[in-house]
Amino acid sequence: MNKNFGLSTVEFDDLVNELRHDNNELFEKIFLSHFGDSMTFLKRNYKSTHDDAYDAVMDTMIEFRQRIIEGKIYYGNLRYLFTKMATQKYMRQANSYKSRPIVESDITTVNHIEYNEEDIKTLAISWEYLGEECQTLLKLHIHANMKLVEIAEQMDRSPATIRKKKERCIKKLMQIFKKHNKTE
Amino acid sequence: MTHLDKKYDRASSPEEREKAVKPVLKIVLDRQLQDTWTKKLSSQYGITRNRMTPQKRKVFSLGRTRRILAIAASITLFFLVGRVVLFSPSDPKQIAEEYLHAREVLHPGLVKGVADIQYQFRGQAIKFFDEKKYEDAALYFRKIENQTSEDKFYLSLSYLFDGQYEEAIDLLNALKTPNSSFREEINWYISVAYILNDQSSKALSSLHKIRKGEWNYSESQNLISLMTTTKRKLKKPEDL
Repeated sequence: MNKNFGLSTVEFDDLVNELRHDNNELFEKIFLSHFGDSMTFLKRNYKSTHDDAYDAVMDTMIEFRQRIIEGKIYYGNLRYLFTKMATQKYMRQANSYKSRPIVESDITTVNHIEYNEEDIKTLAISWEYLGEECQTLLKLHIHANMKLVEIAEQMDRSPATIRKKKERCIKKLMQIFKKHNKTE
Repeated sequence: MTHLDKKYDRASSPEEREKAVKPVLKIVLDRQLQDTWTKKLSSQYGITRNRMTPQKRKVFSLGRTRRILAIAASITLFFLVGRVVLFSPSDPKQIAEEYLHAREVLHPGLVKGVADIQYQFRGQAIKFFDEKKYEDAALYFRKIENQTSEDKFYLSLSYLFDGQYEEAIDLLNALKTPNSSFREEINWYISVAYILNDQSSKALSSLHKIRKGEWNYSESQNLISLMTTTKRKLKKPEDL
């Protein structure tokens, strides 16, 4: 089996570049075609259920994409890395079901949970009401990790305009969010 | 006020406001991506999760498209009767479940009105309903301040399709009035809800109210005959 999902170094660079421009097509083509293999690996080696394997591989794809964008994944042995991550995801998931004694950290209030499911749902709805231009801008900046200067270049605007636009888009998104939250 | 609301309002600079929104928005966008991948995995590679295996269903809309409904019902009935004859499943609950999911129920759509927040809630509820996100649909139908009987009816269906049978039954019962434009649908859906909620005697009494020529009469007769012949062991005290 190919260590890098059949990608050459040049193709991997293309993949990174595409992802950084919020184009997921090439990534999908490669990783969705190997999705089944990764599931089989988890099922065979760890006796995972079909759904648990599905979830673990899906979560790995999301994280793998993010890490590629952030420049944390290098060309070399992508398949090994992906499989290792999927295994870790699955093990973490599987361990969370096992019963264990209650420890101090279970009781202590966790400070890093700053959003809840309701926030996510309402924000997802609010997103639908946001204009296309704002969606594109926020997607590039927040989801594809693109710098404002690069976006400005791509959109043929000044970085200051893009910065202001981004601030307005976030404000607008939150106005819609608050409107949806009001009568909940 | 939600977590995000609080954090956003506390932020004193645009950078801090972005910091508050970013992680939640990232999750939203990740989930959108996952939805796309889920669809592609299913359509291009035949890989699905077992717990939400999508079924090919026929599409129809209630109320305003009675004729389409009648045709769809006939076709479905034809296949279902065929299945009953060929495979002879005898569990009324299983058959009721099959009847319930045999065809896709779509909302007839939004009537033009004032584009205020209530209008947006209704639009959102309908969107979720048609996407089969019934939990979210119910959430938005509930948000509508002056619910019409149509809102209530589709809220009850959202509960039913979401497996919240007791809520569905309560609401369908409240909607049951002699002049209701949903009378036939209510009789059918409440019967199904009773069966799925293991309330066989109430289901039987409700099924008997579906008269010849009314919506799903043949299906109701089939269920009556199955329920009276299989003599399932009843669990609920009210059924004893």
